[in-house]
Amino acid sequence: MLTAITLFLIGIGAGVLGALLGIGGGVILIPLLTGLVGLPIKTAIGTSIISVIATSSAAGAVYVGRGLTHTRLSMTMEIATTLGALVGGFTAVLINPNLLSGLFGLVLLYVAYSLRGIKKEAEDVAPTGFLDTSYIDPLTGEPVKYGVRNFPLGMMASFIAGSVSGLLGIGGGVIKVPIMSLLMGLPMRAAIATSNFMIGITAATSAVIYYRHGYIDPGIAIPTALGVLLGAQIGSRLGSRVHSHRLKQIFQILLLIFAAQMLYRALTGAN
Amino acid sequence: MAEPSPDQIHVSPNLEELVNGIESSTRQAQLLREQRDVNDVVHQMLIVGLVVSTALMVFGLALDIFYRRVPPTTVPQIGEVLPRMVELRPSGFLAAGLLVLIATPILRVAGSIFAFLHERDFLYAGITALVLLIVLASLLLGKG
Repeated sequence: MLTAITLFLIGIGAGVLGALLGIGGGVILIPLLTGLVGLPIKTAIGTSIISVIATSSAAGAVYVGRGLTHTRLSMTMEIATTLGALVGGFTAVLINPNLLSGLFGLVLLYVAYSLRGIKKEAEDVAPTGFLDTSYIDPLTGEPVKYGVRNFPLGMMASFIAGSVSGLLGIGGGVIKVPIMSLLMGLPMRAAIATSNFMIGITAATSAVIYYRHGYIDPGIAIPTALGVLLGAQIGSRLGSRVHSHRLKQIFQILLLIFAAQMLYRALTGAN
Repeated sequence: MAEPSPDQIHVSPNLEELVNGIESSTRQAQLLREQRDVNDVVHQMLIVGLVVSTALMVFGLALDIFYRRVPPTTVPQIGEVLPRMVELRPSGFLAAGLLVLIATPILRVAGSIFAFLHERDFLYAGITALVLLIVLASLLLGKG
């Protein structure tokens, strides 16, 4: 019972952060479940994948309802990212995972550094004539109009993100948000809502496979998932009260934590 | 039922108007439906999936408490879920809750194909169908 309550509380925390930043929350959840609760990595991964889906659907319902999600763009990018995940599953055996983790950690450090241009967003965001859309910023009440740029490059990056996710067993939001924000000209808020929407389908594909292979422990996954469902509702509403540039800063911190995890993996070979 | 009277002759043009009125209002409703964004469909599907899966999981946990048992540590095979629910076994409801949660994003993709078709947005119906195909392919190949 005590474990169930701990898991529920951990779930709330992961749900809030995941929804706030448009990521699955596996980055936070897996270390907590293995380190704090002492679960085997297999159960932690199974629980994490269920939590990614819970975050995506619960926050998605709020973000789509408020028009923050660029549904058409996310559906197009889903082609690249699911295809990448499919290919990543096959090529997992060909690449040394330590080398991959190390490279990835360095890429994340670079991305965190690139996100430092906080004031730039207002100038960058503009209609481009391609997949133009708009939303009402929930904090300022101002309409924000924007279009998509660097679409082919974004699709390619999304494919690579999908295959890296497949290789490393992560949701991939941590890569998708910077791609959309830095490369494709989406405002941070829209990038978060759109990434959040996409990670659900990517995770659902793996979840079915994990379910069949017995990675999912209902006694662990369900209390956590219920916490995540609640946390994501809170996080997605909380996000509306946070400034776009503040979201960017929180995201940078998350990237640094994640980069450290990846570099640690690469150096110690802990996979 | 009443005997025919001259009054009814006056009624008939009104009836015609009424029928025309209904026709044009259904046409308007249809137009509105077509214009309605695919977001609404996706939004509703997500909410239904969340409510159903949460209800199943909470009910399963409640049954566990009722029977004074600890929740199971393994999930039953997908084919066993329904029989277990019929027997009111907690593990059946817990697994069903998890499966509905997992199925929600996949059903959301499938549902948006129809929503785009309804909007006559064939490009996006095709794009979404392709996503569903890739997802189904990776399920069949089992690598994820």
